[in-house]
Order: sequence, then C-alpha cells, then structure tokens
Amino acid sequence: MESKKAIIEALLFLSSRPLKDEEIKAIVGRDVNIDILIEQLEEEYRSSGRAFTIRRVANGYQMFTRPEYSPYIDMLFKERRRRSLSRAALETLAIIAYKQPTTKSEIEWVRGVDSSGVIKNLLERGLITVVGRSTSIGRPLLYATTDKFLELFGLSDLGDLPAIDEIGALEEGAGFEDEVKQVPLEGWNNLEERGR
Amino acid sequence: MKCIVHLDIFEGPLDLLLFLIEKNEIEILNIPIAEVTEQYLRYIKLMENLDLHIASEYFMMAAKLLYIKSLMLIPRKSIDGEIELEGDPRESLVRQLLEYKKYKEMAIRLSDILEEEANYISRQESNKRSDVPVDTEEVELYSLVKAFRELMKRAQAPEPSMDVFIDESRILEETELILKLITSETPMSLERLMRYYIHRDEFTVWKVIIIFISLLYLMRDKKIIVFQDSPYGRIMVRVRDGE
Repeated sequence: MESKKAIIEALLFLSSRPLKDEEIKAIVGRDVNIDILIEQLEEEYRSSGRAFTIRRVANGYQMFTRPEYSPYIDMLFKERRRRSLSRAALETLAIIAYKQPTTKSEIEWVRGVDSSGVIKNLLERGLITVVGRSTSIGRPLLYATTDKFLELFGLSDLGDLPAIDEIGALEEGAGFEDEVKQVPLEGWNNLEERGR
Repeated sequence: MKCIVHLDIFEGPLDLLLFLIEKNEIEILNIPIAEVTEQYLRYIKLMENLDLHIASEYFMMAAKLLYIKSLMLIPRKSIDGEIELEGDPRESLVRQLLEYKKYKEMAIRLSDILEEEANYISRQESNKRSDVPVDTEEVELYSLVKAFRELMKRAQAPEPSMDVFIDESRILEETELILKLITSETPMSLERLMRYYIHRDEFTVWKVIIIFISLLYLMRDKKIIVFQDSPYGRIMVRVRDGE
C-alpha cells in the first residue's frame, strides 16, 4: 500500500505548477493533513541533503530545486531566460499588489505618468487581471494581481508580500517616522521656509 | 558652467524630482521649491537638447512647480494678520512624492525577490528552458507587424504621406536576394537580416517596406518559414527545406 506521503511526493514531483490543497486532497483523501505530510517530506529532503525543496506558492505546494543548484542547472539548460520586468512594470505591479483592487487613474496618480501601456503588458503576461469595475465616476476597471504573480515572486499569498512600512524603516531609519510626527498637518502653516 | 550629463532613465517627472532631491540631499518635507524648479527645468532642457522624447507629464510637472513657486511668494499673512492662506502650497506635491517613493522602493524590493526567486527552479521553469533545440512556433501576425513598426522607427523617416507605387520586379529581385542571404542551414534572425541592409546603407523606410513585402511573398510561396524560438522571442527566418 502506497503511503499518502509518497503519493503527494509523486504528484508534486511531476506537476508543472503549484498544486492547490484541494487538488491534493481530492486524490489522497479529504481527511489527510497534507501540511504535516509535506512538512515531513521537506524534513526528509533537508536531513538527507536532497536537492529538492517543497515550498508554499500561490496558495498551493510546488517542488523546486534548491537555489544552490541553479548554477548547475544553468549549465544543462543553456537557454536561460532570466525572468525580468522593467522598472515601469515593477512599479505598477507594486502599486497594484498593495492597493488592489485599484484603478488605472490611481496607479497613474502614484507614478505620475501614463500607465496604459504597462497595464496592458501586465494583463497580457497574466500577472494582473480585471476583477470588476469601481463604483466611482466613469466606472473604471479594477485591477488585481493573479496567482501567476504569486508564482513568479514565489509568494504563498498576498500576506507574504514584504510589509510596506518595513521599507520606509529600512531606507530612512526610525528618524523618518519622527520627522513625520514633528510636522503634523497643522504644522504646514508654521513652516518658515518659503522655498526661496 | 560645466554640464555633467547623467543618462539616468527617469520613470517620470516624480522620479526626476526624487532624483534631484536625493542628489541635493534635500529634506523631502521641506523642499526649496525655487531651487528644485530651476534644476528640474534645466534637466528638461537637457533632455530636449539630447533630442529625447519628453512625455507631456514632464511639462505638466514643470507648470505645477512654477505654480507652487509663485504661491510660495505670496505672503502667508497680510500685515494686520487677518487674511491667512491655508496650508503649505507644497503639501500635495510632497504627499505625491512620498507615495511614489514608497512604491518605487517596493518595486526595487520586488525586483530583488524576483532575482532570488530565479534560483528556485520548478519543472515548469525547466520546461520553458531547454536542453534540446526548442520547438518552434509559427510566428503570429501581430509579432511581425510589431517588428515591422520597430524597424520603421529605426529607418530614416520619409517625407509625410504620399502615394506609393511598388514595382513588382523590385520585390522579385529582393526575394531572390533574401533567399541567397538565408540559404544556410541555420535560421537567421530578422535583425541580422536587416543588419545586412544597414551595413550597405540601404536601410530606408522604402527599403524596409520592400523587404517586408518580399518576406510575405516568400512566406506565401512557402519558400521560407518565419518563426519565434520562444513567445515574444526573436523572429527567425529559415529556408523551407524538402522542396
């Protein structure tokens, strides 16, 4: 009798995309705690020094080779195509990821430039999708990120995105927050400096 | 005055402003508008001089900066202190800059994640890469049109609209030349083919049109195969064999 663990391993080994919990459960049984079995597999790989790792990606599980082996894999697969995105695409993705669902005009307000082309490109690449229309004037389309976005960035879900405040702290240190507090909105009136 | 040209590519006026703020080590909450405006305009001029295409947003920002600058000159209080202007004229711009800065940094962060992530390779990824010659795909018409537009942009621009008559014999000549150029076994990329014409100083819009029509003729007559080695990949041209 094959163990449930081995069945899961076989599925993940051959799958070319992350498998959702439901998909795995539909095969091995609803009552099976797949999280524990996968944790066991992962532990086995780790302790026996295997080249695989199973990671939680896009609300599912997927098997990868460990990062330290990528140089060797590149030697075999010479047509290495580094996944890259333009700065414009990354900025737009960041805005959509954190503000979703969001509209084109909101994206353009943040970026200060026309973003139609970038949005179209991201839609074509399947990294974002239209999730509906806003109720505001003109009923603009609302955009959100897709599972493919999570897969590309190896995120388990949107909660896995780096916290946005963390960034400000990294760049500016704690002093930045203090500055903001020191100049509350009323403070704008009292500013002596007239931008001379 | 010395002028150092930075060919930083800006993502837009906000990006340019942030660059100026960082360069001058200015506190973002207290921007000396006059100074920054002056530098901003100098950059726009520079971009103009370099014949770079300047998006309209840059000019809109220039207008906004000048407007803020003018507001800054108006006394905030009248002498008897009765009339008081509400708020700092820079406020909305500063908010926008802070917001943009936040997402610009997130974009850098995402880019780092993407780079690390590239080292985790899944079966899906290895299927996309290949250790054997890639399966070729028939090229989509859209890609061909896009490539055509790209080349048109690079070719010397012609005089505005005119009627065009293309001599059929020129196309026949061209098809024969193209067939000679790509006789070898290995496929040739479209860029490479075009480079041949560029080297011979024959790269005009007129010529590009003829080359494209010739390629279409050759495709129609099943003399060549046009394909891409990957989605959005290079367009490759190969002689159709077995005839």
